[in-house]
Amino acid sequence: MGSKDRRAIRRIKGAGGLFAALALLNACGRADQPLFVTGGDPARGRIALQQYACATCHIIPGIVGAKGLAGPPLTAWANRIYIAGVLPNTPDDLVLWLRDPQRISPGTAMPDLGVTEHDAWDMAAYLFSLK
Amino acid sequence: MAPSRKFLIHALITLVILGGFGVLGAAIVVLTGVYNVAAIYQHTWPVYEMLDFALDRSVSARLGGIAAPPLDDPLLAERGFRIYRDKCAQCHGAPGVPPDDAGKGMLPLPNNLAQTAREKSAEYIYWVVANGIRMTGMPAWQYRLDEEELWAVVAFVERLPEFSPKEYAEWDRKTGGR
Repeated sequence: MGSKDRRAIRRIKGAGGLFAALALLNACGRADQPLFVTGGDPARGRIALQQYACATCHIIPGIVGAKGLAGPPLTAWANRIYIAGVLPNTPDDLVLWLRDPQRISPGTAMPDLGVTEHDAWDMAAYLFSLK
Repeated sequence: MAPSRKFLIHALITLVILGGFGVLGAAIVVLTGVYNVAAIYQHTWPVYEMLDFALDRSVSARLGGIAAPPLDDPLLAERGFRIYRDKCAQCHGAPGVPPDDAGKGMLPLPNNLAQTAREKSAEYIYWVVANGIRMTGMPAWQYRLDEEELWAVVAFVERLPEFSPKEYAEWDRKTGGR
């Protein structure tokens, strides 16, 4: 478990989500996942945001037809303070959220879309380009 | 004063030449294959907006003669839920439930139907379910479901915005689950 993960867990505990933190510890146990410490590819991320159906439920600047109102608009993402009202908005926390929203916020309408770690970093790179 | 015969002839020639350029331009676009049909690349913004608007106009123009029966019967919605779970959620997803891989990989992406229920009438939704939408991946269901089943699906979709993910999961359990 990296220091980034530990930091993320501390933050979740701070937000009162003990269940979520336990779930996250479980997620950290998967040793077979490659770790991407560098940023993702925003151009690939833009396509991934279509390919994981994000555009169905969110307004996403720069993606044609992304007019969904089921979830919050992802406009000016880089300036947002919280992810889903639960995690502080940092790239590594965003990757955690994209990969496992149901563990971090049980009962959220955002489903687990099976996002790979690589694709999550690419999506994060695109979203953090939105000022 | 009526326009002269010479003016009319010049206007006609100009229109024929412009039309010729249009056909030539369209032929070049088609023959060179410059327009990408890959499902990972969305239409350009003007093409998308025009098609989206045309789709809405086309469906709206065909709703004459369709009248929704009463849809507030809870048993009808429950019947619709079973059909929705078995035939619709694979592409459209549901509250807290993701679409399957085929639905995620489609372009255009299948709509979130809770949003559709807010924006469109029951008759509009019925027409789309019954007839499908060509080239979008939306199949026609009128040869698979009978009239009452089609309206049952509409009755359930109309109620989708009222469902929390938890309540959807409860209905799933209550009606046998997957």
